[in-house]
Amino acid sequence: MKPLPLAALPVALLLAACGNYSNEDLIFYNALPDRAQLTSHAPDSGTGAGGSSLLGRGSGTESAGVGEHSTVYDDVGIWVLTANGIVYSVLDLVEAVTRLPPTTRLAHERIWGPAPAKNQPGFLVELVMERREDHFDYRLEFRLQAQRNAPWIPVLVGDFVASEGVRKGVGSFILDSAIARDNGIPLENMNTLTRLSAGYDTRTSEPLTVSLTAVYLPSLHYPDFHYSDTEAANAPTVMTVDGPLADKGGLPFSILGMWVGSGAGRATLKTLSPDGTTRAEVTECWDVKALILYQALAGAGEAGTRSACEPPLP
Amino acid sequence: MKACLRGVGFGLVLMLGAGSLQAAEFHRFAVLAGNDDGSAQTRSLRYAREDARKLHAILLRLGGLRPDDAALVLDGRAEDFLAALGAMERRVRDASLRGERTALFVYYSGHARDGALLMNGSELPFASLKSRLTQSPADVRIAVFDACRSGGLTRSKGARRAPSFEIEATPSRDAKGLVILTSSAADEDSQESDEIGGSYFSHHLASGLLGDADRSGDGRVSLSEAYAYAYDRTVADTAESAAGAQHPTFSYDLAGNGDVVMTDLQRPEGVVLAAGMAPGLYYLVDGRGLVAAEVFKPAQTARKIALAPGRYRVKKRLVDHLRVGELEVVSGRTETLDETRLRDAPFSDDPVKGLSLAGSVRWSVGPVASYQYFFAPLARSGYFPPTALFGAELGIENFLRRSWDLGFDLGGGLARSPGFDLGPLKGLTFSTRQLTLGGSISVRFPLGTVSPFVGGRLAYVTVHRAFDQPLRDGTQDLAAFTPGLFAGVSWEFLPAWALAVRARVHYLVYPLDGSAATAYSELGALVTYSWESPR
Repeated sequence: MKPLPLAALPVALLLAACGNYSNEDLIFYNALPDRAQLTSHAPDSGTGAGGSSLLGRGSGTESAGVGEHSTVYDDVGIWVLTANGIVYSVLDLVEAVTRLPPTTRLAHERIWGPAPAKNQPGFLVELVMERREDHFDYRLEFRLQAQRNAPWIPVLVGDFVASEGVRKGVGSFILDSAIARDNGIPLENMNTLTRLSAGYDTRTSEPLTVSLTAVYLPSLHYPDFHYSDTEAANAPTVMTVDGPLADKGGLPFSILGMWVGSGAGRATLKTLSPDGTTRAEVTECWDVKALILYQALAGAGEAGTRSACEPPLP
Repeated sequence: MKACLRGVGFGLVLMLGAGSLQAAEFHRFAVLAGNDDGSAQTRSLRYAREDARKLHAILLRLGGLRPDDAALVLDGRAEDFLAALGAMERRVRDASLRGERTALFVYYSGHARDGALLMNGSELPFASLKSRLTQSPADVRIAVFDACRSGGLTRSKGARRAPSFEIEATPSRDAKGLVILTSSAADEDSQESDEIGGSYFSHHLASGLLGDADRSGDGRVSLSEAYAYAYDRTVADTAESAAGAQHPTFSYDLAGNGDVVMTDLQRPEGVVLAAGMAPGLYYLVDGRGLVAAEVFKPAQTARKIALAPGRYRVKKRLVDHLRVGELEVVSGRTETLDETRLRDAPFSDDPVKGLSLAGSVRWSVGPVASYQYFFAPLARSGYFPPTALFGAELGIENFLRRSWDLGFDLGGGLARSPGFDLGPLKGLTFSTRQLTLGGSISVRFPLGTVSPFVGGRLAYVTVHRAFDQPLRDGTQDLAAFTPGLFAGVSWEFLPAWALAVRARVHYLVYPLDGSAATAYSELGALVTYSWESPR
């Protein structure tokens, strides 16, 4: 056997090195959207969401009575879970490829992958992230594994403008489910979407705002919606949902929910007629056990103690 | 010549033909003892047992000594030695009753202190030993003590610190009495040397007995010739040593004032250094890497050495290189060595390995504490904060070559960063946990109890860090090799115990963010305990 040249020793030692020890990687990693920060927190009564929501029943006219479990509370919880589910599905895509250290490290760029996409058989996936000062742009893209010269298909693009602190800044991302679907790239839990856009503002810890807009496939007649969640430690959490955003034959609706840290809160649900007038409206206040304290149905009067609502009704 | 302090060497009793130059006229008896271990307070010697073995073999082969009439006591206690001496005295007495003239040779190599031989945890006072030898039934008693301050044995009566006996050259058949030779004066240490693989005195005594002391050229080495040779060579070799010059002494109380033939060189086997060979000092090295004999060859004069059969390498040291060669001594034949059988060789090809390398291994183990410090400020603040490391080290001395040591170390430490900014990520702090496993090769330069050393080390280091802030990827790990160099000095403050201070410089071979320099230093101190084991 030919003796290994002495000059090869440093190379051999370098090849033996391993790990994820890096400061600059941290800068890039922490410009990606973070699951904990983007998670909306539903009012927690400890009872869980149960029953059908007012919207789910469609009429918007049926409701439980004072002292009974609030179905409006359930509606709020379901929308929070829906929003979280969508965000998590996007973050799953990102984290699947960034779980391993970057494969390319340039002064202003990191690339994770390409690597076989575990949940998209036959495709390679990579995440490319570029940095200009405190501005970061990234894209998650797929490519057919069998075709070396196949173009990369960007499915998710996002940006983040960092502020001082740890993961402080303003970010957004857009998931183009349509292009993924057109190219045969399966996206778990998001195949019913056409497009999802999201924005978040974490510059200050209070409040922390997340908003997203979901557009579903026209054929599904799902209500497109816009969701927004603003949370702060010493102020009520505010959640709004508006939909549908596209005309799919469904009735427009809106939800405005507010709750405090104990879980007690209130929400107003509206369904609108095609001409924009209110078709039905219900306001409920619930206590920490999600039991109705106060209830007002448009055109049907009110019940319970209005002053017991927390946060107070205007 | 590198010399190590020899605690104390003590004697050997050798019996030779006395008075008459005919060695065969005496029935010879011998008791030889070698003690590497003296007491719990003394450091183990390397060559005391080997010295005893060597002289035992020479006397059996060349000194007219029969195997049944010789006792070799290695690492025995005082009672073992006295028992062997008593048994031999009984044989002497029996021989005397048969009308034979008798000679008893006693040799000891080992430790001595405060007027006593230290023998494996026991003591044998000089006074009682001398009294015993004085009363011994042998007609002629010759005692040789190779031990520190062994001159105390000759001090009381007729002691001389002189290069030769003052004896009449006329043989005496009536010689009777006691001769004592010591390796050093009463106020001197006796020294060992890795270079020659023995104590200076015993080594030169042995070389002389093998023939180099035969200044008369009569084919025999007398006691006076052997002593004169050993005296000259010992003083010369130790004159520049750190422990100071060593002067052998003698006490001569031999009625009849005759000389004693120690070895007869008439046996045919051996080697002759041809007259045409360059003059100078030649070392004849046996198969174990130990110097079997040292020969000073004058110009244009052949010199015969009565080596035992076997393979040998020859070494002659010049200013900038060695001359080396090989030879084989066959029983019944005299091998002739001439210049054509030697070749030039670098010092690294020195055939002398010393006993530690040839026959035993010295181990050391101990705790170490060190302070790790990365040179670049960015590396210290953002990656590797200064770290106190604690661990243990294992050393194997003389493993590859003489004074070349092999080392292994295991250590670990915790540290916290002082805080730093990373782009938009401000005020980051983290803690680290480090583990290192290293191997090293070093070279020592012994200067008595102090030994500077230099070496190279390759370590495998793992670092885990966790940020205090809730960062994505906020726990990181690193595993990499770090080659480095080190230098230091060790001080043997007690026998077998040493304190060392050391500085290392390493380079972390890891593709850290491009701008971060990853050279670092480690300043450390360690305490080691060492012991020797057979190889």
